[in-house]
Amino acid sequence: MADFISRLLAGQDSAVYEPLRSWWLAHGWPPLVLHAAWAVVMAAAVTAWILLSVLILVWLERKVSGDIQSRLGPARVGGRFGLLQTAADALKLLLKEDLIPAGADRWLFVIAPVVVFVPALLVFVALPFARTWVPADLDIGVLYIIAVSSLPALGMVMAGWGSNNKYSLLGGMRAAAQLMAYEVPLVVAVLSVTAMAGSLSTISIVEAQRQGWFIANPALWLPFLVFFIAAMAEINRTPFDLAEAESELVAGYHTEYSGMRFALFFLGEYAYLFFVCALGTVLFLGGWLGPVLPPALWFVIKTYALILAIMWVRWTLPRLRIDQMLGFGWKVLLPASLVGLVFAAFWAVRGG
Amino acid sequence: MSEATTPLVPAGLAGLQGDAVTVAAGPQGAVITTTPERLPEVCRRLREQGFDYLADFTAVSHPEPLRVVFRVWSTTARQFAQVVVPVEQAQPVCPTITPFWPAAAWQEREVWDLFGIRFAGNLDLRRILLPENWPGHPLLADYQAPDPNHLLPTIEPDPSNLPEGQTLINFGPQHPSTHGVLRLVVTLAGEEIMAVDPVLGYLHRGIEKLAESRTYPQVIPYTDRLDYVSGVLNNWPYVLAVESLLGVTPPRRAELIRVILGELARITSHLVWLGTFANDVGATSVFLYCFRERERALDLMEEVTGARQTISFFRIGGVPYDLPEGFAERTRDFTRYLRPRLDEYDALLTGNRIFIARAQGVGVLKGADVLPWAVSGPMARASGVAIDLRRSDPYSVYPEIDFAVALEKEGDLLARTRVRMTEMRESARIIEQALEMLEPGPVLAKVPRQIKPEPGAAYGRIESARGDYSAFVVSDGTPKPARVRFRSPSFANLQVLPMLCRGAKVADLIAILGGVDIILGEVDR
Amino acid sequence: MGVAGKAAEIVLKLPGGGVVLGPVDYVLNWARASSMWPMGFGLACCAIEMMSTAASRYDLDRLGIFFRPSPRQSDVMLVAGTVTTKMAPYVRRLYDQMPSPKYVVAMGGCAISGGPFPDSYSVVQGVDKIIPVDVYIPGCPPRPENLINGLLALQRKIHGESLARQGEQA
Repeated sequence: MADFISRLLAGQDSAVYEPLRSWWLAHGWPPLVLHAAWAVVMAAAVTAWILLSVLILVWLERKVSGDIQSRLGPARVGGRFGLLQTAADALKLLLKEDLIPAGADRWLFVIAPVVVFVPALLVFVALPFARTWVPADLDIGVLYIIAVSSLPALGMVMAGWGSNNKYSLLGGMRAAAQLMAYEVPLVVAVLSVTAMAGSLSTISIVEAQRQGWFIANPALWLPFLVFFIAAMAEINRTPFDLAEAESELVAGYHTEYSGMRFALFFLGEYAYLFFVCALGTVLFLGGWLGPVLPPALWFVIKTYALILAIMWVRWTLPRLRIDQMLGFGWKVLLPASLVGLVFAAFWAVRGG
Repeated sequence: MSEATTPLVPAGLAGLQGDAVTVAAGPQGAVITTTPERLPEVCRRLREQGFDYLADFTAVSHPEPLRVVFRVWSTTARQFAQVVVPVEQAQPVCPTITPFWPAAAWQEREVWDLFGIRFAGNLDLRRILLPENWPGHPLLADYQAPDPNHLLPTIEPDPSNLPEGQTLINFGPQHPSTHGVLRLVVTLAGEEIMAVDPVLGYLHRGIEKLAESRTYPQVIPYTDRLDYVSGVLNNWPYVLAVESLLGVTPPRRAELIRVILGELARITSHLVWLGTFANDVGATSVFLYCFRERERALDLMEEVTGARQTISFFRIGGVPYDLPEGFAERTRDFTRYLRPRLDEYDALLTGNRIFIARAQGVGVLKGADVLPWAVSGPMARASGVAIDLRRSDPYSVYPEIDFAVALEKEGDLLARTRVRMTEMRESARIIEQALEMLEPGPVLAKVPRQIKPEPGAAYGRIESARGDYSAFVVSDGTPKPARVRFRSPSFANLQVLPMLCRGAKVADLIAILGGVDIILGEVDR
Repeated sequence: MGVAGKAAEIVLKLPGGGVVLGPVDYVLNWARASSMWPMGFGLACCAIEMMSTAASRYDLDRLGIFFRPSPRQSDVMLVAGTVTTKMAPYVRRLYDQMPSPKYVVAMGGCAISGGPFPDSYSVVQGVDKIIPVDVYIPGCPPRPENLINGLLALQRKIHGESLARQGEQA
């Protein structure tokens, strides 16, 4: 039993799936059913992990912001540290009246939050927490991730349009323009890493960092910086959160949403935060690699380091105006990312 | 407010004397009484003589006759001239003075709204504080008020006659940002602002009318509700005006206490401004830091007065009680604590690239527009116009205190931020000097038990955190004032908002509005 | 919550139904009370004290309260300041836009009954002339401690609610 647990934690070989598979096939049952059942188990595990993370991250954000602002943050709900605060928030949102504004496009209004939230779950199909702790070891993992993570922009536009509010529409379009502007430098930065690693598979990228994390390589410093900034813009965080702050002046794309639908937007933002930091960990910080501790724990530690850095930036800097933001994305970040790509490719070819 | 010497009538104005125009020397400057027909000529002469700043514009209905009363100031000669224009009771009409002082535009709208006096030639004579469908003019003496609990139908802006490619959007009156109940009707062409029409009056509580049915001391708590972040700075102009009417001078210790509390109030007001402005621009943490410092200043206020925000501490003749033991040390601790904090916020904001990108070159007010539009306070000083009433029209013991007038040239949001930060530092210096100058003594002058000034009128004027803040009190010999008028700097400064926003982007609108620093309590009264 | 309310009433009628309903009510009320999101409706002077209460020294976030800009996402309408006749229709409209369950807190003398402006021609004598109010917090303005006290009173009120008696408070 102890042996089983240590093999499970080490993540070196599949401690659960292999024995299960042999046992299943030994009985002569169809492998397809096993694959389907395992897929459902994986999906449930990923969903549970994300929901748990989101609960923790919302709480963490409020505590970190409280700390930076010399106040306490949640301190009553569920003990001295307010640990159950997010659970209360989520439950309360679930209990709210189901409101669809008059004149709203019903179908779009209802689907939009789903289109925004679900890709956050889908990207984890190809993100490894450990060598075998990944739902699917895709050869084109990075390509898949980039593709799926572009979907929320669509959801935002759907939300803006479906709200029957011209200001929400403007807000949605601005959010989409922002995401598109920062998608390109993000992808180019990621390409720099794949050039270095020589593969699109996320597991291979981490394995290529056995000799040293990519962030230690000077050729990848510029791509890392570009990635970090573009990631903040992709998840709509200050200094790039004009789409959200718009709801403070006119209306953001989610102004007309209430209850559980709003919860999906709200929680989706934190799910994406976890996702981009997890991606950054895989690409630059060596994924699950590290001595002594179980690999999955290393993964979580590194991801949380990036998360804390992003939270710190949010509560310190003011926000950019939309034209300044777009200008920065297209005119500064994109050329920088291309320069980074050239250096990384040069390094990779030189065999350094 | 010069009450020490009785100024003579300036030579250039004496020539106006004739039939229908009388020129007299009053205790606060020349008083010119004229008919509406001769008014443009009087105004022309006043402009020629260098009276370039419209200090106050209002009307008085009681005691008779109904008259327009306004006061102009010569910023170079530091002189006042008051003009009184009696108008007919039924269908009152008066020519507009906007060709001479553009700042009169909104002031005339207000007089039309509250008194029903039409201004011939004013291009935009709509009601400004009350809704368009309001019955009657409340500040007239015999006004019958309708039931305030019934809801009038709302009036929405009409987008139908806009040119091609322009849309109308509406900000407010409810703002999530902390600006209070102001509504801006904005005409946009794409992202660019074509026109901004502020709609005021969502907080119009009728304080000026209420003051007429309160005794003189009872008006003081109402003044706190005007500029509600500035505490005692609101009480000051009113008590100065009443003290003028009574001929009472507060004792020296009272003046110093007033200065100390006034400058503390200025610091708290600027901290609120800095926090809310930073919040508008996205730096939420600075908002919380500013409120944290403000709490310490409020602790000091509470020690002395018992209240944090709506303080009502000044009295006619001084202050009601003395400072507590140890106040001086705790205040010095506070000013010592504040300075490095201000430097930190400077670094976080004015040293930050993103903030500079949001604030530099945004909402520029040209220096030449300051005086014609009667812009005062940090807005004026950020555009290079060095008028600070503590120096230009001194009151209390400010002439004995050494401080610098904060001045910047660019007139944009960054300049305004710098001016207000400098003012906070200078206020700290003033407080420290005033504490040194304190000597034992009485804090309240001998004032009659029932305050019943001789019939007359007087102005009290101070430099509040937002600018030129003055009170005009008319007495008729009874214990209740006949007219109390508050000239608020936010109302006057807000008038230039459309000018500042023209050509700016929508995202800058809230930042520019924040930079003007208005408090709706004193805009709407 | 109509369906849930009816279901709750049926459960209550069954023997031992109260034992089932009690904990359910407790959890649901706990969620609503621990996560009150006000739409800060700062009208006048009380708004500044409300901001001070949300700031670092008094910190409403401790209690799970954080302000939302949109009425659609808030549960509590904290009317802080004087309601004038010009503003009144907007107060009503914003209240109507909030999804239920929603609560109203009248903060300060003006929101309770017109405050120091009883004879003003343009001040509505209390926001309860326009919308139903759950908690009244006196003061001009109420101190931050007083505001927190009022919000805790609202939490107690929420705890007294029940699924089976929709719209009634215990």
